[in-house]
Order: sequence, then structure tokens, then C-alpha cells
Amino acid sequence: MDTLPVELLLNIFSLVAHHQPWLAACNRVSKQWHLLTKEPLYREPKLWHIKALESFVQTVADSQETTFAQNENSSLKNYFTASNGSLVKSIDLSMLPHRWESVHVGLVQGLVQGCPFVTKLNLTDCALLRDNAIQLIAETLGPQRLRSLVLSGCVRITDVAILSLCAHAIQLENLDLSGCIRISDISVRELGVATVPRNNDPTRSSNNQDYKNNDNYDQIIASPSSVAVDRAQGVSHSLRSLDLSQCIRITDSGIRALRAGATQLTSLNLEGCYGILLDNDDLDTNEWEDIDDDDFFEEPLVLS
Amino acid sequence: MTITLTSLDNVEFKVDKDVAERSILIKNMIDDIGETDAPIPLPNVSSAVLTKVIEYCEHHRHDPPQVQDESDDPRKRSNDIEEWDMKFMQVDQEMLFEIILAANYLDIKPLLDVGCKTVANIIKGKTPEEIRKVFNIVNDFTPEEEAQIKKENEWAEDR
Repeated sequence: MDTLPVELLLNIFSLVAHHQPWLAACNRVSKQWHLLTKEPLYREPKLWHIKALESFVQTVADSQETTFAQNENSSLKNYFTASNGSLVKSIDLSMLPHRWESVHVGLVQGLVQGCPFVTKLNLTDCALLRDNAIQLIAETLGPQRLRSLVLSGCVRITDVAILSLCAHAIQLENLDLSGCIRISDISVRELGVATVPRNNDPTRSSNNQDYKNNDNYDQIIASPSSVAVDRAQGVSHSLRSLDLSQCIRITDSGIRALRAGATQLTSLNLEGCYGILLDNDDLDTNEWEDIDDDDFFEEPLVLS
Repeated sequence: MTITLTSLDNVEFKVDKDVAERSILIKNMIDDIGETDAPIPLPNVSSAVLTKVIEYCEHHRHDPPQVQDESDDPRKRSNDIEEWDMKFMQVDQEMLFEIILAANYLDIKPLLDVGCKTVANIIKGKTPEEIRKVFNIVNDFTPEEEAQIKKENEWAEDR
């Protein structure tokens, strides 16, 4: 086994990776195996029950502490330098039993603070969550790498949650709000206009002067490469896919504003939005020709 | 036409060209230098291993070229070892790893895949201690490190 080069070991690990306990066992075999399996193990953690979620939250919280604390303690240092949580790319709770009565804001807080670089987060039917949980997500993950957020069936969230997302998310591409029945035109309009200044300043000050002092996370990820480019960023520029099905409070006026502003939007699901009276013909012809932007015609609007 | 291969321990093997060309390394060599009677030296492969590799290539000489990107389902990827291949891989561990290394060196992708799948199948379902034992891997964690990782991994252990 010692004779195999690293790329062959990685190949072998990829063959057991679909079953998480096998990969976790490999992770504990030796230091070399630990290093090689850490990233695949943490990239997309599969959390099958609420105990696993709680234990995972504990691990990513601890690993951040140990990572910072171990700078002096050299015996562990080499093998624990990248915190486990920072390796997490995708968290999907959509298969977690009883999530609608057990996933609370404390767990969400632990997740987003422990895993700051998550790109995909699926909280389908985590119905206990209120606006404060989404605000945490928006403020912590939004300025980082969050690209896809599924809040389908999170029935308690309101426009406050979406406004917070709009204020902080810089590259959100997919947003699923299906069944979020309290969402109104206020959210939809904002999704069409939201931009975030390049400095990620939570106060959305339009002036970029003090951004060097202000950004906590830049220091952690040490990516000074984000050279200031004077191009607007934010949800209205990044959103490609939006699911508003069953959002019964939304009306024509919100959708019109969204269409006018969200330049990258190519998929929009309005199924069961009974507040919208426009029929497809309206969307396809009259309304479209009013919009003075060729981009709209490049890809078809998905209306189901 | 036949090709002559020379192993690490200077044993000559005469094999048909289409068998030898299961190895992309050898195929490329032949393409580069043209057909020749000169033996091709394989200084990384012992005669014992080369015998096995040639046995594999002869059995699979008529296989169609491998389709890249088999399937997206990793479950399937690691389970579908043909019966003949499975028997072929019933060798001691040292030989198993030698075959994998030779397949890697000679660039015989299907043989490499079968070898890696065989190792993966050994790993499946075993505890860390069992894995160390079966592959003779030294546990180089301190007891504290081991305990810490065990605790860290609790979320991933079972369903």
C-alpha cells in the first residue's frame, strides 16, 4: 500500500466516497490517509439524522477553534491546519428527517459560522426558520461564495429575509422560494434591483474608501486578489434561476420590475402564483417588447 | 505481427501486436518508432507481473476501446467487476499492488480500474483498525490525535 502514488490512492478513495462511513473510516487510518480524505469527506457532508447534524455543527465549530489555537502547539499543527469547516462546499438538509421541527436558528448559526465558504445550501422545509436565520445566512455566506440557496417550504420567512439576502449576497445564482407564502412584491422588486458595493460593507455604503479595514473574511481566506473592479455586483446581476411557485402574494407589478432589472435571469417558476394575472401571451409579447434590453431574448423564459 | 517485451529481470515475452497495444504506452512507442523487431524494454515491470498483465491483455484483446466517463453513479462504478476480472485479481496483496503500478505505468486504463476497484472493495465496510491490519499500514497517530479525529468524525460514521 505504501508503494502506491498519491493519485492512485485518491482514485481508490473516490471509489468508496459515495458511502460516507467508508470514507470516514479511511480518514482515521493514518496521517497520509487523513490528509487525502479530508477534503472529499467534508466537501458535501451527508447528514442523515439530527444527531449527525448537531455533531457536525460541533465539529466545524471546534475545528475553527483548534485551527487558530494550534499555532503554537506544533505536534498537531501540520495535520490540522485547514479547518474542516472551510472545506465544506455544499450542505443539503433536504433529506433530514424531522427537519421541519428540529432545525432551529442555533444550528443554522453553527453551520454558517463553521462553514463560511459554502456555495450551495438547501434548507427545504426547515419550517421553524424565521427571518433571523436567513439574515445570518445572508450576512455570513452572502459576501463569500454562496451561489445557490433553497428555502422551499420555509413558510415563516418574510420579505425581511429576502431584503437581507439582497443586501449581502454578491453571487447568488439560484434562489428557490417555492411555498414561501409570505413573500411579496417587495422582495421580488428588490431582487430585480439589488446590488452590493464591491467592498462587501454590510451597511451598503456606496463609498469604497474604507473597504480594506472592514472586511473580516478577506483576512481569513487571504485572497487579496479581489482587486477592486468598478463593476456592480449583487443579486440583480447574478441571479439566473428563481423559483416563486406557490408564492401567492406576488402580483404582476413585482414580476414586471423583476424582469426589467434582473439581467441574467433565465429561469423563473411562477406555478401556482394566483396573484399574477398576466397570461403567457402578455409575458411573451407585450411586456417583452417594452424592455429595452437585447439580453432578454437570448434565452427563453421558463414559465410552467 | 508479434512484439517482444523485455521485463525488469530480462525475460523476453513475445506477444501479438494487438495484445501489446492494450498498453497505451507500448502503442505510442510502436506508433513513434514504427514496426521493429527490437525488443521493447519495460524496466519497471518484473516478469511475474508482466505475465499477469499479458494474461489480462490477451483475455481482453477484443474489447472495444473504453468509453470515457462510464457513468455518474459511483456505486455502479465500484461494483461492476466482471467475473473473469474478479478471479484474475485473486492474488496476494503484493501482486495486486504490483499489477496496479504496472497498469499505471503501462497505461492500461481498464486494468488500472479493476485493480483500484479491487482495493476499494477490500476497504469497504472495514473499521480503521481492520484496514490497517489488512494493508499493513502503520498507525502514526498519537492516541490523542486518534481520539480527536474519532470525535470529529462522529457525524459521518453511521446512518
